[in-house]
Amino acid sequence: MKRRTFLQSSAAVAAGSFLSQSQASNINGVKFPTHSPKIKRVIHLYMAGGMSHLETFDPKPMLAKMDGKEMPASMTKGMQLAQLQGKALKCFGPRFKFKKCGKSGIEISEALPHIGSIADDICVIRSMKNDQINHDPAHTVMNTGGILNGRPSIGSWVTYALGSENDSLPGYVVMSSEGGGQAQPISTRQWNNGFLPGRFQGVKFNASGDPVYYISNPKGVSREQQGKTINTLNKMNRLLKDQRNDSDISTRIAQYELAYRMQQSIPELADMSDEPQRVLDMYGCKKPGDGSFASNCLLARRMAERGVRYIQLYHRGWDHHGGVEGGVKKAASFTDQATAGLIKDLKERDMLKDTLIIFGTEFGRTPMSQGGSGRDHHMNAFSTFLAGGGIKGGMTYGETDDLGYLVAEDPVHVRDLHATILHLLGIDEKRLSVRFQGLDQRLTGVEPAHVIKKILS
Amino acid sequence: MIRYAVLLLMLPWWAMSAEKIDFNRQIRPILSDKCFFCHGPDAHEIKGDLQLHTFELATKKLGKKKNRQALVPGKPAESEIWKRIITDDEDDIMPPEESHKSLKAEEKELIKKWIEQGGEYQKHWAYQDIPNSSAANLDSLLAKRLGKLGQKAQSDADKRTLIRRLSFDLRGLPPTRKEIDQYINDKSPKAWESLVDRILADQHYGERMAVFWLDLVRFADTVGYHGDQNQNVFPYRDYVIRAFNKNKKFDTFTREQLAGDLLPNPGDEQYVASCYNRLNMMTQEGGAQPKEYIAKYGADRVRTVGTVWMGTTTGCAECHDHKYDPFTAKDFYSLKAFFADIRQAGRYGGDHPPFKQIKDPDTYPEFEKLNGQLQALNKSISSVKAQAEKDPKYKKWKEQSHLSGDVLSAGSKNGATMNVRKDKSILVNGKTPENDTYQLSLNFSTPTDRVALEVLLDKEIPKKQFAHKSGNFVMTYIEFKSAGKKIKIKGSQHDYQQSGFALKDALRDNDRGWAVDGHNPKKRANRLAIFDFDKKVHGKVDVVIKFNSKHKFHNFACFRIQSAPKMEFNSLKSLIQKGGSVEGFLELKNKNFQTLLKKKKGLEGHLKKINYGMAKYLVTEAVKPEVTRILPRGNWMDDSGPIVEPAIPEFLGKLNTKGRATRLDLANWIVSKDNPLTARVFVNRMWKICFGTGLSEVVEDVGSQGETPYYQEILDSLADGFRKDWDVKKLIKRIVMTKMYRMDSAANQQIAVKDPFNKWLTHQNSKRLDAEFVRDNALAVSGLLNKKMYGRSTKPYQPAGHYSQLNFPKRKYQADYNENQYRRGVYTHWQRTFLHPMLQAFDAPTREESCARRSVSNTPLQALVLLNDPSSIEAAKALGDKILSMKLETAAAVSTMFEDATGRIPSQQEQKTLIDFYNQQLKHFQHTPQAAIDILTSGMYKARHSGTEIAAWTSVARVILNLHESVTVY
Repeated sequence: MKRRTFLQSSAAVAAGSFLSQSQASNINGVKFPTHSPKIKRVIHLYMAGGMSHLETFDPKPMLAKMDGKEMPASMTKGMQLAQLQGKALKCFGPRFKFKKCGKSGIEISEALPHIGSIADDICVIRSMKNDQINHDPAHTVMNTGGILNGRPSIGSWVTYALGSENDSLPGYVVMSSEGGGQAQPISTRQWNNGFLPGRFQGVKFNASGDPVYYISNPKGVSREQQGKTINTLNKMNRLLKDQRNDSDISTRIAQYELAYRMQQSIPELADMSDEPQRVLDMYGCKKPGDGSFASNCLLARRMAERGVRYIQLYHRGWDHHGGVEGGVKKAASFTDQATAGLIKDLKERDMLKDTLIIFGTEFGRTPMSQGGSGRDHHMNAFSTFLAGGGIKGGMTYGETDDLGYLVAEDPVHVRDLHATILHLLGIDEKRLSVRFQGLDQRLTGVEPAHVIKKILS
Repeated sequence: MIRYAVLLLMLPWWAMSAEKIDFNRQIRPILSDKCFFCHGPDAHEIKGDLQLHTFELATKKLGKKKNRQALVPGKPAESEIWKRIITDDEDDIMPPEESHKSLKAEEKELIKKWIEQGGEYQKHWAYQDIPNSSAANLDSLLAKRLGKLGQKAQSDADKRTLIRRLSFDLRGLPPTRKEIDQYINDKSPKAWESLVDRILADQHYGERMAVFWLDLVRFADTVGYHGDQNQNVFPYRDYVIRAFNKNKKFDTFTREQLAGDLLPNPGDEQYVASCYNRLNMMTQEGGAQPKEYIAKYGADRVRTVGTVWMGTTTGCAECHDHKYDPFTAKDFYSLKAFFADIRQAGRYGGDHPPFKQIKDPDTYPEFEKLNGQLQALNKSISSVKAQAEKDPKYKKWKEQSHLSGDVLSAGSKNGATMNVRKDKSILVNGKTPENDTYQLSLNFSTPTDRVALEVLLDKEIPKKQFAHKSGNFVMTYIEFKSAGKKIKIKGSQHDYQQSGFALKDALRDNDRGWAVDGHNPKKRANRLAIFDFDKKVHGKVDVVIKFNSKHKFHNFACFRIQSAPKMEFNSLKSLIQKGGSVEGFLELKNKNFQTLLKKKKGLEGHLKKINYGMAKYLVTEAVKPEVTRILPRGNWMDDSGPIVEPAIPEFLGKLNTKGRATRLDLANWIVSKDNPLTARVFVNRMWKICFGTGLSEVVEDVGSQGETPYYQEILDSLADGFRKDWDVKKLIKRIVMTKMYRMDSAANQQIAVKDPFNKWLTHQNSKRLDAEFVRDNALAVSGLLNKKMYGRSTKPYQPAGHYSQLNFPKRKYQADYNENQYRRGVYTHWQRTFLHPMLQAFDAPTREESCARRSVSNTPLQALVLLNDPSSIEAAKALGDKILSMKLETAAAVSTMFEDATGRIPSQQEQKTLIDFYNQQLKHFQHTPQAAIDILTSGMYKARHSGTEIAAWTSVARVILNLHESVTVY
């Protein structure tokens, strides 16, 4: 028997569930969770394309004053630029007014009125940093902690360590919607299991057709007949097992049973006809199942209820090289209400306390204008908010300089965010490692990562 | 849940022997894993001035007083290593607590023993010279160790298992019924060897081997970054298949890929091989900084060459010296410098030059056929032309073409210069006024009531436009006068007019006029207008042409006015434009000629569409090498690092080249006798193909974090043989001819506990089929497989919308609805960012990064693929159809199906289970006839049968194709 197969199957057999195990696990002698977790699950609302911090969560009155003036050369000299390479660099004032929101008075852009209404529940980080300036590698850092391909994404790491709470749904699910700007492509690499076993790969839910590939029976095969087919198959496999001492056979049998359960549970999950109108209105969901961000948020809540561990919702519409004002307005029209709705809904169901909501992006946008109406990619500073279990609501953390160009205080690199997410889940990021290519690989890589302690409740 | 509990209960395999401690096998892994992070080769991160990776460094005097020593040979109690391991002091204990590493009791014991025995170091096994041992008998080497362990090797597997194993291992396909019978009936002692020879000679061998090689070199049909656009690389895949089939020597294979373009007199084959250097991911993203991506591509090439040929993980050295192996950042960038001469772009736009072309296996035969037709056609056209030359009608036609209209004078009102040329055309140049009026006098030698105005494109006018400063013209007025009197125009015709700019507008003198969309370069062609007079005129005629449009500079700059005979407009156009040529005559008058011309045009269009049977591919083209610097911490923006020249890793030696070393020098070193890595790495991978795992398990890394092989003597004997002739087939034959290879894969209970990873090799290993072979097997068993080789990548059915997240451009997947649907998996279109879901479910890598070892998972998504993917259902349908056509009794039919898929004859119980299921399904479909129709609708294969029986057989076939055994080799 092959070593890997042996490890996988022995772990799987013992856990009794094959997609992921539901109890705490033990990897290389380390027990997970390593400490008492604050949350059970993560919902990552991923504003893909590069959401402008200057139009959303980071008010910059000085930038407004400098509108049209040259960017101080001392700030930009020697710094990496994307499409603005070699162009004149002029300040571009924020396109929206900011309003003090809630009791906490956090300043949030008028483009996001619904998120503004839940300001006291969220913690805005204004000092995020990435080290990649283009979408594809920046996403890769945000998801896998590094730019080399073939590394597992955070959802895979988390389900690998903690498993899922539902043995007939995948532990890590990804959904995607678009609207508001050009939809930059996003590779399956972003939810790949990398060198972790294949069952920890994110499962992509589709907006149309089968929610999960090959989940429907073939034409002419009813659920009952599919069950009979699988029964016969498993009987045959058991007969083989009688002849051969091969633990992979038991795993195979269990996987078919699980597949059969998934064929029931996934369509059930995706069928939202039992959601009352009041709930749909909360999310601003016009037609459940239409693949919109609102519909995906609602689906995410249903997954959260069913114990899915890691849920990622991409909204591809935030890449505003031109017309950032109209673009942000439009992208917000798809995402603002649904985001607030999801948080309110979870709160009403008393689930927010053990869910972490991340509302983030891969990078921000330049304080300099691009083409007079847009902004270029900006990895040196951007905003993200967190809400839910273990997070102090109604606060901001970190600051950028007067122009929103560089982080001025309390920088939060992507790996710090990762360490914090893992920490909330009860995982010490230093201890979650897997041997690959002869090295002990970790999500947070080799550079030191820090849990953002000040935002924890 | 304790995941590794089972492991902890078992003693490690090496603890079984009580012999002298073997440093490489027993001590180095401990030091490397537990100590080297702080006390290893990375000279920048050493803690406490101590390095433990060599004997000299480990025995260095330490401390201010130089009175301590990490390793005191023979004396654990004096050795700091040992003291720190056993101390209770939290501050002193090693490994320190915060490292989360700890030593197991038996590991401590080993270290103690090792120090007691003298603390000897050995060179890392993979870097040692390969001993001269090619003549060794591999089975004896196995027997020797097993004897000491008191273990016995398994006996041979049965013949059916053996032929299936060999067939999948070396061809990725099941054996045919005929092959099985032939082997079973061959009772000669040479039966196995002749089977091996047959399988190695089979063309499908190359396809199987290509799968492993294409993973290594990360071959894919798309660029991988951002928009993940297609790239032209399939000829390289075909090269790899051919190379394995031809048994191209591995040294040549290596040289051609790394440096095919630098070899003397490279041909197509060498150039195609050099596509290897272009298989890295590339970007077309608008905001990408070329310099950054050039750095990424270079690093990617180093990682890949490290994994493919050196079995060395180099990636970490992009930022810092390797923590475990003697591989430095300088080595990394020196390797990178070998590839600095490759012509490339950091950011590509639309395509990925440089290219070359070769015959396209898909279209070249068609090209040859069509080109033959074209030649024949050209001959016919010539002969028709030759005949026409003699035709009196043609002679008359030719005479007609002598049109009259000599230019007596020509002038421009606003100062442009008018040049009358021999062909009677007038070129206007010199001053370029905004508006103008041309005035001409012509002489018509014969009476005429029709004149033709040609507006011409001329090479004297820049950009092939109608006017000097505009692509278009607007002629606002034209007037003819005879003897001072305006001639009445009773009709006009044109070959083109721009919407809103009619020719008749030019007959009234205002600012509106005739225009022809000349701004659009695609619409630019010589234009013709005809004016019919109400009576014939003779002799001198004055012409006035005005350009008074509000569009400035729209004055045409080349034109001609002549008399024109009465004939249909198109004929006239042809006559005027072709002059009196025979083509012009035939085009108008000869139906046959028209047909021939139409055919010719069609053929030429088709030939162009298939690119004249040629396929473009990415090639390596050497240019002046870019300067290569060490990038501090891998930062591409930091130009402060020192410049490096191409060099091999220092610890492996030095190249002796005159001047700058090239990729060819690198390739020559890789396959030189002095380099012990290449042969070891390759041999280990061939072993993995035959045994499911390498002799050193971590096939991608034979460095110190890899695994010292338990049977190093077997690996070395194979490596020694291989480096002498680089003969891959010979190497594989040597492996599969051993008794070891033929062992049964079943482990008895006792061994399974003692040696769960089969390091002792007491038995063969079972293997899950690779993704491509899962597909191939279903196609082969069902009879659908199309064995065609080579050519463009193919597209099996794929769920709709799988590419919906792709952009730049948006893409819609078009599955092949033809015989390409049934091609082998090795030909499947490899979309790096959205790999086909079936391949992905069965662990095929995305090939974004070099991959030496696929993971082997067992997931519910695999079950869903085999149960519900249209390709799976279609295969089941075809298998059902095939069985039904054989007109067998039910019992024989289920057995045949089972045997085809598993290579084994089913037990009675298995047979009965399948028969019962068949009967149950038959009944079910009899009750639900619509379901019997529906189940046959998946896939384009049309079953020869219809009704309930074929539906029931399809159900049985689904079970068969889903069997664990159908995707497993025992």
